[in-house]
Amino acid sequence: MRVWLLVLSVAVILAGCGRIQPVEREQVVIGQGLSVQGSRVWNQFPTGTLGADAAWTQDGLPLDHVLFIAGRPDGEPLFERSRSRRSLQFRSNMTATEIAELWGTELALGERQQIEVGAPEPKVFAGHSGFHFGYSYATEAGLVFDGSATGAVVAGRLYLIAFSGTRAHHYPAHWPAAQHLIRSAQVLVDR
Amino acid sequence: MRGLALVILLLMLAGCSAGLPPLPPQTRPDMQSDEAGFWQLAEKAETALRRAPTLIRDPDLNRYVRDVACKVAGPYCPDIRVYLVRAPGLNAGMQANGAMLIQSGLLLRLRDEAQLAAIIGHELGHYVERHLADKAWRARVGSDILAWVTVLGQGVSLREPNAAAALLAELQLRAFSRGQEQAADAFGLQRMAAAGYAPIAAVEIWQSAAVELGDRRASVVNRLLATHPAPAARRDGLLEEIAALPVQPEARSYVRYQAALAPHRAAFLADEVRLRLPTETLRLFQQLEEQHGLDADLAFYRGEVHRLRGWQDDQHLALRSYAEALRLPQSPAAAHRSIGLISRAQGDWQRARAAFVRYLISEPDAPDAAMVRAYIAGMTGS
Ligand SMILES: [Zn+2]
Repeated sequence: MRVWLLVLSVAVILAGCGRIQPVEREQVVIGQGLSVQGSRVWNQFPTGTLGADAAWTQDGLPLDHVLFIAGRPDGEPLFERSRSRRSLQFRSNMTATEIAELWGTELALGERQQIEVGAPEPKVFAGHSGFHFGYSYATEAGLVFDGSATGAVVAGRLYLIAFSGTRAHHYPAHWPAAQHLIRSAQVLVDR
Repeated sequence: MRGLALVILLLMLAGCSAGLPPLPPQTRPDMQSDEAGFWQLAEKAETALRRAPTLIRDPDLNRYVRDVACKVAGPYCPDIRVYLVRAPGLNAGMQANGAMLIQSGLLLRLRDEAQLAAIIGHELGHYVERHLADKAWRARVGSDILAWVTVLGQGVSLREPNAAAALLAELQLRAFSRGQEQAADAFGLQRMAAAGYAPIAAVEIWQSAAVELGDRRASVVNRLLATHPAPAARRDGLLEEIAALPVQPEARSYVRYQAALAPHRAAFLADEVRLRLPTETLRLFQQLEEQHGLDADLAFYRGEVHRLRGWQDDQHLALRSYAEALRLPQSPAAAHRSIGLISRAQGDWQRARAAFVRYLISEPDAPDAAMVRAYIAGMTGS
């Protein structure tokens, strides 16, 4: 992790804008049928960035990011890097409590520190009964992040949108835009 | 006469291999030296460390560790600052300028004050013997430092105000040479003994670490071992040094150490569980049980390790651990919730509902009460 942020910063700088695509204010479908619509333009990184199905940012991934988990089926990990670890697989009968625990472990494996995962509470997501939980962590470089994850298990698949940003600025600054994305979410599956 | 020649020869050899002479108390390196550069870097890192969100700021625990450190450091007491950092796993380290880091996962694993003294004495040895400034060591890491400085020079430091801390942390992970480790061990044992602590405590730390890790030496839980010689070799070296000590004091201060740790212990146990390294964590918990007996928190978190691993037998083992926890004083209400989660996964809705209800009764203001009520509502019928 000590290296992660620096490497990422360098990567962001080096990458220039070549592979980062703007997402206009239109409906976008991510992964297995998670549709969202932004209230402003987001910068989209290639699929697989940070191991998620999509990673969007306002001011750069090291400062704020929305991670999308779009239809994770039973037996697969939330993030690609955890594929080899059986205890990190999503199970379609998981409760919000267990999904929040899994999220906490993924943060720890990303070498985040001082991890706090808040209590999940019921929340409607994409028209389905789902959950919401807050979280926070510090990077080894000493930045404190706040985060918020909202999701639901629909037809056995996990759909989740998580927004993280620095506590000092980026979380409060971009939370309304992230919230707009979360509210716009639709799951396009056969009901 | 021949004896004198031998002494001179030994001194010369020692001079060659030991590099810089030990740093006297309250001394800074010559401003013109390379070593001073290391100090400046370390000071920058320490400034960042003081603001680090991961720093454990509890004044009681800090005062306690500080007192032990001063006892061990003796004349070097004014030269060292101890920083307690919240992170699972076993790690400690020393910067060139006397800033010492001790990770919370290490505090959890130590049995008593004598073991803490052993860690502090060893790390102090690296400082007094100036291992971070040693030429041979610098030659080994030199290219990496250059690479980092290059990155910093490109302005990344603007985005990353604490890059110096990251750099120092990286440097600290570089292994010291075996000779340096032995020297730090020998120094630490002498300081421990002088402060009245049982030197055998130093051996126990490495033995416990070896048991916990099995054959997995370098892992996320164990950076200390990844950078230090194999435990068996270390144990033998330590035992030789201990045998040569002029005094064999016996102080352990078990009760005082555990009392200082107590307010933080459950949180540190939870940090270990979250890593989901069940084999290592269960071995660690087994050792803690052997050392201290089983308490409600330890039983509960052992249950959590089994629940999160989820192998064939684990649900059963988890339920057994929760039952043990609930029989012990000060059992966490979360044990009921965990029983509910397992029972729900097993399809035993009746038992799950009963456990969730018990959770809500013993923790009516639980922040996840609404969620747990939703679980209960979701299990209708049967
Ligand atoms: Zn050492």
